[in-house]
Amino acid sequence: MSERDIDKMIDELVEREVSRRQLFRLGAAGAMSVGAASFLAACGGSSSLGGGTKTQSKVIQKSALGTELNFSNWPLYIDVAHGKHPTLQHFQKKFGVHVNYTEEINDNTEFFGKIHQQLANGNSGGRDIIVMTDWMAGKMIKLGFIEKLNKQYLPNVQKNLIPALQHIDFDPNRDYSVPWQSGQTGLIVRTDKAPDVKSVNDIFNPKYKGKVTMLTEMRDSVGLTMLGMGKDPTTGSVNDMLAAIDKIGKYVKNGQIRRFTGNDYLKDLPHGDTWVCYGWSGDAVQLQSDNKNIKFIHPEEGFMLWTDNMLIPVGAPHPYTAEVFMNWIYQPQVEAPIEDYVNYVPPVNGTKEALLKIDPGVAKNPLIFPSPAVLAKGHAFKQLAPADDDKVNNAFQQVIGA
Amino acid sequence: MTTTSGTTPSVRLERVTKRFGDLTAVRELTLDIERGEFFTLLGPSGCGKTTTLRMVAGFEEPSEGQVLLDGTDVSGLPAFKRATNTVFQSYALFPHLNVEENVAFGLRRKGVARKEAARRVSEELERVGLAREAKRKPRQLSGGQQQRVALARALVNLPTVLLLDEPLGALDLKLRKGLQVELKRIQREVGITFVYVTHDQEEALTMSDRIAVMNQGVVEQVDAPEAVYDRPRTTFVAGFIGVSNLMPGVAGPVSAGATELKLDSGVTLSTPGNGYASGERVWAVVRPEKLSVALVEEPAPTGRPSVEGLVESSLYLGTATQMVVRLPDGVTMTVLVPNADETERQRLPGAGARVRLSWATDHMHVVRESQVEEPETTPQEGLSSERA
Amino acid sequence: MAFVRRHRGILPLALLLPGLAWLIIFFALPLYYQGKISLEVGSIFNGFHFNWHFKTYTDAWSAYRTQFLRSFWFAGLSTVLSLLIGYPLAYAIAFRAGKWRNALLLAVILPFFVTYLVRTLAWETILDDSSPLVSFLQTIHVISPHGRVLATTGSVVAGITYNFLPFMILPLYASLERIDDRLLEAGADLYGNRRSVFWKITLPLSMPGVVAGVLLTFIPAAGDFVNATLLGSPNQTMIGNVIQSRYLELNDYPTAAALSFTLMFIILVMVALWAKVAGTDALMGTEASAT
Repeated sequence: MSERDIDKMIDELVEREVSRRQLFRLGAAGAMSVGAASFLAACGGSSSLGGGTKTQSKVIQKSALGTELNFSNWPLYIDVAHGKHPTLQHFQKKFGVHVNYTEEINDNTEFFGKIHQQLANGNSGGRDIIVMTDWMAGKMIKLGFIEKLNKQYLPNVQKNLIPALQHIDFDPNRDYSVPWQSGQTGLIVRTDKAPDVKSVNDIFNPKYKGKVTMLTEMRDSVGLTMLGMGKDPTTGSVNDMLAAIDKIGKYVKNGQIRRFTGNDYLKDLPHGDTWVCYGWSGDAVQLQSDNKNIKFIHPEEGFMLWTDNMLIPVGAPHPYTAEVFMNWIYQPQVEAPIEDYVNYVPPVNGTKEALLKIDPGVAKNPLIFPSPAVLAKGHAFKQLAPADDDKVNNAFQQVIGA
Repeated sequence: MTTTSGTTPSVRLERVTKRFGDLTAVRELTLDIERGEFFTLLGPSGCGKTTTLRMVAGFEEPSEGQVLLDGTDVSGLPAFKRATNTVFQSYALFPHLNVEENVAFGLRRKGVARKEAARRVSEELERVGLAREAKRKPRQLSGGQQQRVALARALVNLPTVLLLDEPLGALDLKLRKGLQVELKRIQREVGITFVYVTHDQEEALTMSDRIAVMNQGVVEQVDAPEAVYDRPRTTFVAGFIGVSNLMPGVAGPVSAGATELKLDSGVTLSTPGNGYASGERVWAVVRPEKLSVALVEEPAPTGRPSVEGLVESSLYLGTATQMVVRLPDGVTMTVLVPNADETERQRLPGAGARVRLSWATDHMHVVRESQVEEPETTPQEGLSSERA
Repeated sequence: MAFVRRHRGILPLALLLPGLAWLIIFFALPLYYQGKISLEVGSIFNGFHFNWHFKTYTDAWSAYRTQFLRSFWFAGLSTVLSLLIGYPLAYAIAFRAGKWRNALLLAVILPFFVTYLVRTLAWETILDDSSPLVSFLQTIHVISPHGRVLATTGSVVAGITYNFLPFMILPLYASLERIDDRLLEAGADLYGNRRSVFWKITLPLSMPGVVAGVLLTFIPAAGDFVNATLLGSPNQTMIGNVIQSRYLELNDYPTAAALSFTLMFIILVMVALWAKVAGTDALMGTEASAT
């Protein structure tokens, strides 16, 4: 991609979307560090999509509460007790709505591939809420696959959504999306086997040959590697990304990188198959508490930040009920037990205080409630135009051997 | 180690017992089969005849006793090292090999050169009349042809003993008759000892030099076919070989080389043989075709033993008329009267008539009870099991 | 019913119908769509359109030839291993197991009660770098002191072999078990010792099982991706992994479809060749009743 293309893209962006600068400003207004603002700038860049864009003008109307709510989420992303989900039981008790909770999302693209046909026909497959990572949420909104929210029914979200997440590029006013959890991608290390890991580049240390893994999630693996190469994944060019992918490829070939994982490192680290890996903060909290030799490290070059968002897909049978649910979740005392279990970064203001009362250990964990100084080093991955997205993804998939 | 005729027997079984778990299939069997003999093991299914054959072949090892082939103890010798060959009940032809390859199998395993084997195979196929089928697979052949292949496959090896396990059992009656004759011809031709297992008494009587009648793991009688037929030694043999009329009675005292026999129907007879203990339970046997029938009103024939009874049924069989007569003690007798003359047949007494059955003393034979208890089998049932 | 009675000729057709419908709806139709998709161009966001784009095939082949060859290499190796392990086992169960036969058969099938994925995950644990098995292999110098089993060709081939072994054993067992004992006795009776009875009778008669087992093992093994994902490294990726990532990760349906078709085609050619070598007799388990 030439510079001119990039310029053109940015021009398009300025014309059609809220500019990134604007977002920066809004982010800064959110009483957060500049670094964190880049987090909000999540997925900065062009979101122009070739086609299929259709605008959603109507908003969700109030109706009677449904008897049930169909919620599709990622595995292990809500509190569990005795095989049940207390938060959902609590919701049912309060509103008489039974939540059919399905852990069917394992991968953004995979899930998109599964449901896009239905969504294009205005059918959600019965789903009322789905949870997608920023960049995919942006794509789906652009494709007109997501219902516009009626903020009248989301007063808690208005009130409690942390400022840093109130305005993001793919959905500047949070008209379509409500954050579920945020997370950090950094290094997770077996300190007994790899004691001096500080930099992203330590993952390429020949001492750890065959004992390192990266993530199948392209944005995490490429983003962190770019940081190690001194490039900013938020602003870097497609060429920078391809360079990072080349570098990863080199270390696949020479056997440095053992494999690419989802959160399989949950098992690989304690077993000693993996000593250093790219991994997610929420998992690290659990790993650290089980094994004192495992530690999440914010690399000195910085780390990746991302958010998973609740979305109401078009054709959802119970959109109003879904909004009631989202609104209910956005109370610190409701969010706290979820946080206590999933250990990611909560988007609901006051969760820390609420959690202090029920589980102070977790509430004081810096991985769950990172300090502004730490957050300052977080980066979001650039939102890519479809052609670039294909190009980068293709290159990445080739390198990871698929 | 010699038979009465002074030569080494081809097969000798010495007090052979075979047990399968709790079941005793063969019990203390002692038997000599002479060289070149067509020897038949005859008996109902489950009598132990096939097990006996398998012990000779080497597929089973006796639990006790010895098997000797040509005077050599073959205990522990596996089948493939024994100079016996077997024709199996359903032929057991190798389905993946053609006729020629089937027949050549044994020769090749014995290390006969390919050329020599081919020559002998074609000779053998010529003999059984299957030269043109040499390249066919077994399933492309008729049952009779398959049977011949099985025979050729075994004979080509020139075994000292050929074992045949109901080799004709799967064929229809007409084909069976033809092959019986042929088998006998081949046996005479090659002069090999045949040990033949069958449950078909007629087949046994037609083909054998000697027959061993087996029942429940025990040999009840070993004799030439005529002897087995005419002079059965036990009730079982009498019953199994053809329809026999068994009249129960008690042996009396011996006088002048003859034994007095008091039948349960009230008649007292005198029978030549002796050796019966006084008071021993015995049976007088007369074959159906040896009985004469006359109305009681007619004068009793002199010099012929006779019993009286009531005709229960009379059945026209074409060549003969079969009557069933019930004696006073409840025993039923079957009488077979040849239909030599139509007017004579017309005069035969019908059902309900009181008749007198008589026979020549020569035609009566006294048997003991079978060595093995077999309370359920009446002669009639013995007959039906043969045909089954 | 009366209709069927009146038109007797209809009955066989009517009986065929459900199977035929099944085949059309669940095999022919998807195949047609797959074929169509493989010749389309576009992206999931712009939509795909049909363009007779055969270049997808050549591109896919040149980009993923390595994975294709690797898949057939792994599948072939696993099939041979399955045969070497499975035959003695099937033989023992069929001829030597006695009263344990059913128990042993159950043991063969037992792993199927656990899902494929979980079984493979279990292997991941068995083979992980700090497992007793791996330490043992290290001490006896089968692998180097810092060597590993997981994420190597060995572990992937072992995983495939393990997962598809029952598909080898069951047809082998079925064909061995069907062999009439009297044929083996006849072999012994005709001076065949154990070894020649096995090579001349048992083995040829079990060929239908060998052929079926090889097909049932090789075909799914060539398309497998689970073992390579869980037990391999990026240097062990098979064509199944590529298809799955093209389809699910990249939403590149044309390439995924083209790869699937190419895989199918190659397998068909291989099966045809194998059938020719092994003979249709063995493949069908019977022979043509000519003349």
